[in-house]
Amino acid sequence: MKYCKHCKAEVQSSENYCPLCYNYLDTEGEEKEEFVYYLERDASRKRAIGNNFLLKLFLYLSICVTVVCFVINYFTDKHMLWSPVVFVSVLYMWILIMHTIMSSRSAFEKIFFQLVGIIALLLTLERISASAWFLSYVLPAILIATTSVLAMISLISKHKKALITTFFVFYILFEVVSLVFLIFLKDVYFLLYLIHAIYNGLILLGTLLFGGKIIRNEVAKKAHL
Amino acid sequence: MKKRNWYPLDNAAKIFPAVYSEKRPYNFCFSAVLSEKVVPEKLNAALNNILGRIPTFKTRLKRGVFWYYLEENKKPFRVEEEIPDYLGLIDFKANNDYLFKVYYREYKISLVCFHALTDGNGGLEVFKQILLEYFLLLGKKVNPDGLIKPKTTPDNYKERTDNYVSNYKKAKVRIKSPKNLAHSDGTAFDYEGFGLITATFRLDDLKAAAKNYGATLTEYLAGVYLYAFFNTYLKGVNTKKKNVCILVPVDMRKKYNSESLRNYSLFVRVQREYSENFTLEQCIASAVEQIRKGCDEKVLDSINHFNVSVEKNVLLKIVPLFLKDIVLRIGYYFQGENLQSGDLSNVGLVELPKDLKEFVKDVNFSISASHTSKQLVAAIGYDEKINVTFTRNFVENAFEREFISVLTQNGEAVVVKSNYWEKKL
Repeated sequence: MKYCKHCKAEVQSSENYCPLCYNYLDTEGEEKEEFVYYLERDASRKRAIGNNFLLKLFLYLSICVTVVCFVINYFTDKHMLWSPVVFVSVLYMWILIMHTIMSSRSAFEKIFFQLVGIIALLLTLERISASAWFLSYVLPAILIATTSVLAMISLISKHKKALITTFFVFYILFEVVSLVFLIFLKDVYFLLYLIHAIYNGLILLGTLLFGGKIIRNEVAKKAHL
Repeated sequence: MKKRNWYPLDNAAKIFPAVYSEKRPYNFCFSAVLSEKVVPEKLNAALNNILGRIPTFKTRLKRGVFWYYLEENKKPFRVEEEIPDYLGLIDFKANNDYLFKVYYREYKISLVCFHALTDGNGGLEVFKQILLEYFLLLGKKVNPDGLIKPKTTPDNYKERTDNYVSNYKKAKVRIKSPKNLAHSDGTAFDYEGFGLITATFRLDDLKAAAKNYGATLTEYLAGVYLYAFFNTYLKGVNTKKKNVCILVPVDMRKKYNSESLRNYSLFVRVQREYSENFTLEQCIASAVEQIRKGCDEKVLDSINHFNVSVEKNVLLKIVPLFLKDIVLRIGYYFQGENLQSGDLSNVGLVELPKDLKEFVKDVNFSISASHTSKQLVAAIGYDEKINVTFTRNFVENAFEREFISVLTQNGEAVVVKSNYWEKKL
């Protein structure tokens, strides 16, 4: 074993200098090959740090497109505001790619942000169109479509046990939305909301009947205090 | 107690998922040097065998609405070849969601644990079980001698219990927060990882030296820590921050006869203000006095009472997790890490069955540093030796040099190992 006469310490190392005082070590006799306890730093081995050049490029392009559209819109036709649609579309694209496709966030968050994104996009489109169609037709259609997709996934997915509670929370939220529209908003076309309220209510009941135990356990786990 | 496939984090663990990062990974590591080369396949099989009886280790970290929790992990565990920066942040996703890693290299096996799973003494129990199962799978005749639980022992609810809460007593002893704290500092590495230096002493030499000062080994090391800190960072320096406070973990398992494999330790603060003409005797006397006072049951109960009452606070309970993360980060900055100059953790003497001792030549213990707690010391005794491992996240090693020179001043023999992290490549 090597020895540092300055620190009066034996040094177990493949290096020829002391790790404490950095003076050269004395080697007595024949050097025995011994197990090196610590692996030394390997400059070629770095933690994988993602190259975010592409991300920066897309962010820059998104900002450019939005700014250019605002400028063109302002100087060509101030009365027809179409540039917010571009802005919301770009924003939705970012939610879709970064949050829904690329991230490892929970199913609940992904569905929630997708719905918010789609609703924001359609609301902006409605503003530049002449008529009001979103609340009467499109929102209940989105609710019916989402309820159907969630019900289908919970029937065929391998991970139905893990997803059922998330879906159950969405069914409740959707039911509340439909009932609020049916009861409080008289000037919207109510039939689609009624269809959704009944359809969603039945699926809600079915989920509770067949997956009640799973939901209870999941709620105890996820919402424990 | 009802068996379930998820566990709320214990009181001490609750903070770690909120605050861990690349700069503060909150990991600790037990390593063993064996007498023969490691067979990775057997080690992997041993791990997957014993995980069945340590359900809290066979878990992954999940976000709930109000708190994080541990959920049963059904994926298989994989051992990996050792990397130089093994104390660094564990990439849970790349690790099949497990919160611990097991590395192997030639004769060495290492268990690296994220602190949310367990503390040093809990980790040591698991490490011993891994070693036992590994050697049994190799076909060695090893009798556990009642010192290690073999995989045939059914898992016990006591091992999964959060003893902070189950032993919660109302007690109030006011503990003052230290002010004007000095912190160790140096030139940060411009790459990831920690500088590690291990000094190996004869256990009897250090015990005798401690006895000369009327101190236990932990008290002696804490005193030396203060002395080395004064000499390295405060001597001749004009600063208002002259108070040094180190945290010394106390294993609560012995006090409450606990079998918990989760976190169950509290901290005693050892602090002393720098003054000129300080001596080693004064520093050790300070450490002896404060550690003995701090280990008093009432004082420890009051610390536990404070910690658990924070968790039981209804207002904090009902705050959603994403807001709680922010609150805990701010709270930890002001009330946690920033109120310490360093850590000294001594897990004591490792007792292995006689049959196992034949195959285990050395055992070591190390802790990861963080950007606020930059200088840590971990000690472990095994087979008439004690390994003191220093972790730092900056280039300079003057503290280590000072610490080791104090321990060797009476001619005690020392063997030094280092990962030469400061070396330019």
